[in-house]
Amino acid sequence: MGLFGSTDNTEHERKPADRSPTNTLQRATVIAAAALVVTCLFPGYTAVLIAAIGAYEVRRVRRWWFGVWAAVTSVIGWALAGASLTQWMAWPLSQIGHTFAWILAPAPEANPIVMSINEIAESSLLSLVWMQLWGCAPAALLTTVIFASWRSHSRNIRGQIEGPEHTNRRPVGILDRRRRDRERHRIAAGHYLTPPPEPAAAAATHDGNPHA
Amino acid sequence: MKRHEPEVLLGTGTYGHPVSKPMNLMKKNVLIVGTTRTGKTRLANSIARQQSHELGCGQLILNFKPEPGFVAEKARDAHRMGRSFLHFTMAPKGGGGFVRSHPYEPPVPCNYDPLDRSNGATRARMLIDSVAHDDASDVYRRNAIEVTALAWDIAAITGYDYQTMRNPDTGQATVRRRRSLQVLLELLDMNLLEQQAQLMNPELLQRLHPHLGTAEAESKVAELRSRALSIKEDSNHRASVMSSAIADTRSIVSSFLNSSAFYPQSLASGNRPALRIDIMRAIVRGEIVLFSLSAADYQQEAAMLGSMILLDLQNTVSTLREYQSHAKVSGQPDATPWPPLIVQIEELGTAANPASAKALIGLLNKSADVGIRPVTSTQSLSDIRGIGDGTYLQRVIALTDDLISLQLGESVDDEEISRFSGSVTKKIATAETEVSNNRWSLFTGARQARTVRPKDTEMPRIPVGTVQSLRSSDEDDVREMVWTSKTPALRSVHTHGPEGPNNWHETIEMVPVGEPPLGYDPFEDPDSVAETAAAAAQAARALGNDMADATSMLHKLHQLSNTKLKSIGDIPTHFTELEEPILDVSITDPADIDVPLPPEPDAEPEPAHKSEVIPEANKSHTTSQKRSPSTLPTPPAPTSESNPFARSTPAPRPPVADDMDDF
Repeated sequence: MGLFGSTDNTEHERKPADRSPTNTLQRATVIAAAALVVTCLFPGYTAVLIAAIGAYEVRRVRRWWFGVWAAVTSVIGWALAGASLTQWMAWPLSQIGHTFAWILAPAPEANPIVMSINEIAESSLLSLVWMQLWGCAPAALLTTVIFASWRSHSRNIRGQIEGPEHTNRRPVGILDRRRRDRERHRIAAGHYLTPPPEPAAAAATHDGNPHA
Repeated sequence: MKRHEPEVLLGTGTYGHPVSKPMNLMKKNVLIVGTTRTGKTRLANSIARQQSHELGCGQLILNFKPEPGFVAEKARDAHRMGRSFLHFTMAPKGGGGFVRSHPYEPPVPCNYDPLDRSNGATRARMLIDSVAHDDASDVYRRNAIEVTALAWDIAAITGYDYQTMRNPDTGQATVRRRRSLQVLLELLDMNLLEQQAQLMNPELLQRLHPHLGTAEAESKVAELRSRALSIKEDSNHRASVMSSAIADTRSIVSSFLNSSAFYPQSLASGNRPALRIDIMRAIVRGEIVLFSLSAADYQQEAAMLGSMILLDLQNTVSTLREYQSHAKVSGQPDATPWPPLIVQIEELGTAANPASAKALIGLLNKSADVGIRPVTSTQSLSDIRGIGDGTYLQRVIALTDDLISLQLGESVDDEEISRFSGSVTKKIATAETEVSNNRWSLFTGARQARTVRPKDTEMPRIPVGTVQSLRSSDEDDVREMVWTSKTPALRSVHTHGPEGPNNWHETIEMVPVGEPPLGYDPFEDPDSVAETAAAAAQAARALGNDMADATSMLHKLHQLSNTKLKSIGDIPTHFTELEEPILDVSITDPADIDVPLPPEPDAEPEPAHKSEVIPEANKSHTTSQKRSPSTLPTPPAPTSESNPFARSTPAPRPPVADDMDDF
């Protein structure tokens, strides 16, 4: 845009949203502040969320996988918490408890969650990390499902445009390469062929017939 | 996981899944294109091997760039599948004898006479059409076909195409079919042709065509004689078209017969069935037959023989189709009572000329319904594009269902591959530029807008440039390819469908199935060599048993190709009572020439380079002419004694410790 005003000569149907720099700056500040607070209070949640969103955006992991992982991590977390729902629910609050332990002074009628948090407050850093991850992972993964659902529409539209920078197709990963290597050996060895009858197989053993 | 329906596996797809296609959808031509050392032959061998394994297919391979490793691989496949293996090869350019590449291979070059079967007209077309010619020489071509057909027809009537052989041990005489080309060469001497024409009589003709009445036979004999005489008179004028046509034909035949490009007597039927290549037998029994025709060493001979082989195959297909129309075959559409036949043509462009291209197109056109499955490979489509007026390539491609391209070097071929993949509508991103200015035109400029606008464009599935950028690495043996298939629907994506944006084609890593290991040496283990040679002998004996079995399909097919129409006496009278009145044609009996019999030939036929027109041969047949039709020579029946692959003589030879005895 020019210094003394500008005219947009292109004829679009879709234009970038009309935002002033001030509004954009304000919005960005609010978002950043919120993210900072969440990160400080729930670092595990932030870490898992960033990793999951990264996996979605870069590796095109399908969103239903995140739902599956959310369920799995819930079960594992609950099991690691001694099959105690209370204990497990306290884990996401471990950082809060550790930071603000002086607020949560134990009282005779403190509820089990508060008591758990107090216990957590006295744990080591490694334990904190452990609890954060297993406590926050399900929520982070469910958040990713919501995020992926919101993004999928625009990604699909963008993915219809030809080109690697626009594609919505999953890139080739480590598991794909391992499958490729495995299948190469199987195909070359004739794994998908019907095994020959016994006399031919016996006669061919000297040639290294894998079906012998 | 095993697959229930037989499939051909080609390699792995983008995400590592196996790429395959059901075998019942691979009935039409598979064309493989790729520059040198990209894996074309390995892939073609893999496709042929899998179909042979699953469907019991025989294989007929024309390799215009032969090498010992290829022969060993095919012999190995035949051994593993328990099939007969026959190998026709040309003589080495630098001299030297025949060297076996695999213990399962026969110990001597196999015999093949492409002109052994069919009537004179068919064989004449096969021979003359195997030579490239242009439209300007069409009149010579027609004359050449006519005189060639006439010569062979007369030979068939008079029995000139058979010779008597006497066993040196027992003294017993047997009759054997002579080399077709040798017969033709001799009969292109117009004097001999006229003599043979004079030897014909209605009884001889009725022996071949029993349905002919006497008057018809006499008329036909008179026509043939008259034509032979007129051709002779025509040929006496040096400037005549007929004279040139005869000279050209003689030159072609002589160069073929006497060429040192072929092992002596290899272009003949031979007298050992186990060493004789018979395409019909190969189809019915699922044999693996390899023709090594080195186009680099002998371009003309390789191209000619390659054309004749394809034409012979076309004729065989006609016979098979006729049988199929009578046989009741249930099951799938296009089901045949015999297993399919893979026709594998390697380095198609090397020996390409209009004749071979026509023969190939004729084969591709007519063969899918009788179980012929072509697999062709070529280094460059330009070799085929350059033939004739350039339409052959388009015709071959039109008859191709599966086009597989490995790495290519030419952009023209790249475009052809793209064209074959068909067009689809793609959304192409167009960048937009925002232009800004102001009323004083200060600080004007342009910047990239953040909006991406897609534009619908018709583009090929496989973009131009794709096949040139495919990878082909010897180090890790990675051979990338793209594959466009028309059946069941046109597509280039095979494992992660359906096709759509950014998913119009798939790069496949080629994986050959059941290849021999690197450095494979079939002669490494002496025990294995002995066992393999024994297996070859066993296969040869099985061949003899099949040929002797009167109830086998092979026997019935041979009978069909020799079927004669009924004798005149068997035809219902209401078809004969309105016979045309007999014309008063005076027939002159041939002069009774009293000549001595020639010396009895040796058991082995004469080498090709010693062949010449032998006047005495006429005398032996003149003598035979004096016999009644019932005593004229008949083809020898195969023997099924303890050593079924001894030479076709009544007395069995005692076995000796030698490979040749099993053949």
